Amino acid sequence: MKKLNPFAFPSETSARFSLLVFGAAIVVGSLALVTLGKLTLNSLISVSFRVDADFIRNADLNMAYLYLCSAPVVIAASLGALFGVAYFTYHRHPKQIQHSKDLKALDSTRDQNFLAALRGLAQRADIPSFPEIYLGPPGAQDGQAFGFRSHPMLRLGPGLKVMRIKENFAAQFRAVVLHELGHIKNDDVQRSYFAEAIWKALLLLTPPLVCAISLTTIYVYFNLGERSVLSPFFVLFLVVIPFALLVLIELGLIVWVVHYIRRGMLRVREIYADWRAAQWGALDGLTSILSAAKQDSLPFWKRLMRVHPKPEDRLRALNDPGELFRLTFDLPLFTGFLLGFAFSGIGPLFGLFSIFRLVPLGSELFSTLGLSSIAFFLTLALPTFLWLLASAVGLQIQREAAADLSKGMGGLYPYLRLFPPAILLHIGFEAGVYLMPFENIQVDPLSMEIGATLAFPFWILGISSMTWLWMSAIRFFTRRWIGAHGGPGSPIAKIQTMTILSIPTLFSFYVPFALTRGWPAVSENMLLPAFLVLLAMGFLFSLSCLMGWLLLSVLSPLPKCHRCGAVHSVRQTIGQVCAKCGTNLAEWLYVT
Amino acid sequence: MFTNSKEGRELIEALSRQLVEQIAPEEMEVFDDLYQEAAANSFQPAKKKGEDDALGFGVAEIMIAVTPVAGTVISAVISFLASEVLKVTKDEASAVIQKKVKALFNPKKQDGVEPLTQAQLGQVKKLAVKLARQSGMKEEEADRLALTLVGSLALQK
Repeated sequence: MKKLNPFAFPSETSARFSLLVFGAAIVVGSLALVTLGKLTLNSLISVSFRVDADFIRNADLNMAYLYLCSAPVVIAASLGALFGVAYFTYHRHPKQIQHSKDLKALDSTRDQNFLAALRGLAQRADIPSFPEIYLGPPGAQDGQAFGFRSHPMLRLGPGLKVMRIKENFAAQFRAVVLHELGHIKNDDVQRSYFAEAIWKALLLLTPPLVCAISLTTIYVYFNLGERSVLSPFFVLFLVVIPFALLVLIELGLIVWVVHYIRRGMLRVREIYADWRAAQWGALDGLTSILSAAKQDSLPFWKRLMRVHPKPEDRLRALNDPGELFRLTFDLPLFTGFLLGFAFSGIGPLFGLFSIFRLVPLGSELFSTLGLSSIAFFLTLALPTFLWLLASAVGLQIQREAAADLSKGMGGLYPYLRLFPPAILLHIGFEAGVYLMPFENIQVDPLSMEIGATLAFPFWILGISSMTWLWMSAIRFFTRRWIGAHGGPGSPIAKIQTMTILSIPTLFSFYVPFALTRGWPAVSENMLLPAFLVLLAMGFLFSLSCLMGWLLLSVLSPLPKCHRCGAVHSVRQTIGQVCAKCGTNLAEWLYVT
Repeated sequence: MFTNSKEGRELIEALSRQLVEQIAPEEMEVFDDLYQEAAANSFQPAKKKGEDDALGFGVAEIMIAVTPVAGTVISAVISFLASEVLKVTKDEASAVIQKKVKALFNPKKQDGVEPLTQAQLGQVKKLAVKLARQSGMKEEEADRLALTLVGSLALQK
């Protein structure tokens, strides 16, 4: 069976990188915004969308104005701090690696033969600028790519010098060096080290922000008149300590999610670098190393932190790259989580609309600040989130559809298989919403009407169905459109067009979703209208998909063989050969 | 201790060179670098490094170079031989012991130096195999190294 070409589709790691950067930005920005909310809004918005105009005082309104005016500044400052620290860390990483690994620049006169061998491999890899070579640390036999896009660097273990001269290990030497050159060729260096820098910046900034939220919450708590009757002893044991523990758990989970995304990105990059090296002729060397590699049994926390896949997983991916074409559950779950977290972070903005709507005093400012917040959400925040969703989850669905087509897998089942990822996306979303520190304390389930509380899972199921519809449409059109692409060249333009086109359709689901999400919580009577809105959107979407399919059927001609020009009898090219000359019609999808 | 003296260090290096020349001649090109690195580390097996660096290779140990293992094994064997010599020449000066240990590796029989017994040679082999295996060598390679070493000790005529 022919192997699928992992490079046939744009790298999924780019989407994961964007997810990580946006994820970190969302976490820091949202935490900063919540801190501001705690400082200014106090108890004004205890439960979103539930505001009684009689209780609103002018002082509260002034603080709310302050919140709205300061929000852009706070977001900009927190993101400035995040990216500032990340930028500094990123630019320092070559020096940090050189220092921590005790690296020494390769002596070109002393190690002439070694250098000549490296130059030969770099030529094979077609690397535009030969990397600066460093040796170290003593005893090491591995390699590491680092540096910058225009100035790549390579750390090589001195053991590689021995491997080069040993006949039995020459293939392994080439495999290690080509794997590292593969990282440079795949443009991993810049993204990975920036991702590492973002990760470090996040670890640095999150604890103080969570502390700030905790302190402001405690401050607010003590300043609420009706609760001051409690003794400090009760406050300490019933409020402060449980809240602190809760915040620590939340903080741990948030950091773990971002780490998981980072780890996923780095792991996938390793497999792509293996594949690049294999394409340059290092398959035997890699197979030999990975087959012989012993994976030490690591403690649980080390396994959690490990950024390399297990040797057997790498070996499996080398033998069958189909794994890179599968939609794994982590991608929708964590994408949903980040979207939910962001939604929760900017939630108070929406809560304020309901206040200003009720109070004539605020109407003027509401019209300017409120509308600008809505404009920000609709034009910048939501499209960015949806682009992330489309380029991370949507692209992977395209890959999976192409791989299934290649295996001749059709029918309804693969469509049904998309339902669990759709549900996970929304479970991730809700988890993201409630993991925002203190968000879960604001919502009092008892204050919700019982009917609405019970209806909430159905609501999740409803919106998951919409997402499933979107996923199914991507799968369907990938099979019909990308599956009809023939020849050796990858249909990059079609793939990207599909991704871009899927964003407005998502937009048409998620704007009503964002606006109606709170309705079931307000009253069970609002559940039906909310469902009706979604149903209407689903109907319109299905209608437009049907029209798109008809249009595609009418406009696209039957594919021709790129070798002999013979017209193929069916529209599909993936998994098909030319009846006349036997050429594989979709060469672009397979390793040649 | 003899292995820590200048003469002892020179002897370890010379014997390691001989051993590597015999069983891994291709390593002679990088012998000095490898030997110095191992000696600086007191011939202790190097810890695995760089196994999980971002954009690293992810596998720390791919091949076992003979030079550091030869250094480790010879250093331990010399210590063992020194203790064996000391058992029979309790009252002699350390310079004499050193001379006798060096003489054990000399193919020509020298006056006053008794060749090693079969049992002692067996102990040397066992020790060499054990240390080579601990350093990560495969059983077959470890046996070959040990046999070559024992051969150089048993050659006295």
